[in-house]
Amino acid sequence: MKNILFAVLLCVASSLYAADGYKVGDVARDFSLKNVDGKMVSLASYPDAKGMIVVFTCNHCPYAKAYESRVIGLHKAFASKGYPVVAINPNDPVAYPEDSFENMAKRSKEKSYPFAYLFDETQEIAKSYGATRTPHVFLLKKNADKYEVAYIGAIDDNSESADAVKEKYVEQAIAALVTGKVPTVSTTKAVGCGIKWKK
Amino acid sequence: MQSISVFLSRARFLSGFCFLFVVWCFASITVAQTPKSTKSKNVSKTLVEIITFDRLQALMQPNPDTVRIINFWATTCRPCIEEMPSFDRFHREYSLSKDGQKTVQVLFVSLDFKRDMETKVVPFVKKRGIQAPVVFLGPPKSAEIDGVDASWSGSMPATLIIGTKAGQRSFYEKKMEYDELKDFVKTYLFP
Repeated sequence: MKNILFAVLLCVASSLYAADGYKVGDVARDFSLKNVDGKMVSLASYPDAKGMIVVFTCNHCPYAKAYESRVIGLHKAFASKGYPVVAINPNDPVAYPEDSFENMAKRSKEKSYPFAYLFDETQEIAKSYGATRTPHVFLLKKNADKYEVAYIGAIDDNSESADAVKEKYVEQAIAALVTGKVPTVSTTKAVGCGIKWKK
Repeated sequence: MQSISVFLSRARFLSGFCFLFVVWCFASITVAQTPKSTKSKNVSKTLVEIITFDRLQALMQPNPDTVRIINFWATTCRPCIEEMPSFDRFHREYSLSKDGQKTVQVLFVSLDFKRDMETKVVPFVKKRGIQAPVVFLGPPKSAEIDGVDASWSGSMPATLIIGTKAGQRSFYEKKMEYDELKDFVKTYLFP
């Protein structure tokens, strides 16, 4: 009886934990998701990386669209420094056909994405990470074989206009990591489109 | 001597009259112009007023006579648009006080991009005939999202319900149905 109770408690605790998602300092799980080129991609696919800019994003959301060129810019600026972008679309394409795998491939080609654009078909990764909206960034730092969450939140402080940005959160966080420091601002919020969960 | 003083007083009277006339002219010009400009201002003002976050914070304070329902939405957010009729129905049914009962005030806060305010938000409100007040905030900053509610991650739709007493406050980061809304508000209206 005690064992059953313990098991139930453990289940409840773990489900609560999963619902909360990651916090800064947590170890991020690896994944294996299909890229727009049809190949499977995981964190382990980047053996030389020092970290990873994981961006939960999608095709349809105007806030994600507003950041599209800035995400490309992040990859171009930081992939060579060991921090590539990995974009993940977690949306249910039944809710938004624009976010289907085919349309992801199309968008990636049209805009010549220099980074992997992965489809989280089961939505398991978005749930594990605790992504709630698009765009939603999880900046990871490699520590031995593990990836630790170093920053969660927005790319910068102005979704509408890249020219009006005052705080480049992700860039500042990477700058801190590169010099072996902890990012001063490690969590931010921004409005975005709620992830469309499967029914 | 007398005629001079009479002349002076008349001159004073006349200059006074002239002064008054000039003032009247100016006043009538201003009056003639004012109604036009305020009228056109009022029309767009009542339709979608642009507000600052400070103003929103003032609106988030509890009011002893009114339960406030503050809904955060955008024209580009489909679930937001889907739930709007429920909120607007709530406004129509509960915003007028009946026999001294407490009222419910619905407020739609648009988080659309600033460039879409005149081209998308205002036409949307007109077309849908939304009756509850709509204000425009634009995309909020990180600290402002926390200022609405610490639990808000930033996704839409999101709704804040503020009861009539201090501390009566509920926040929902999801799409809401009419009945659900009614249940939540009921507990605040008739505790």
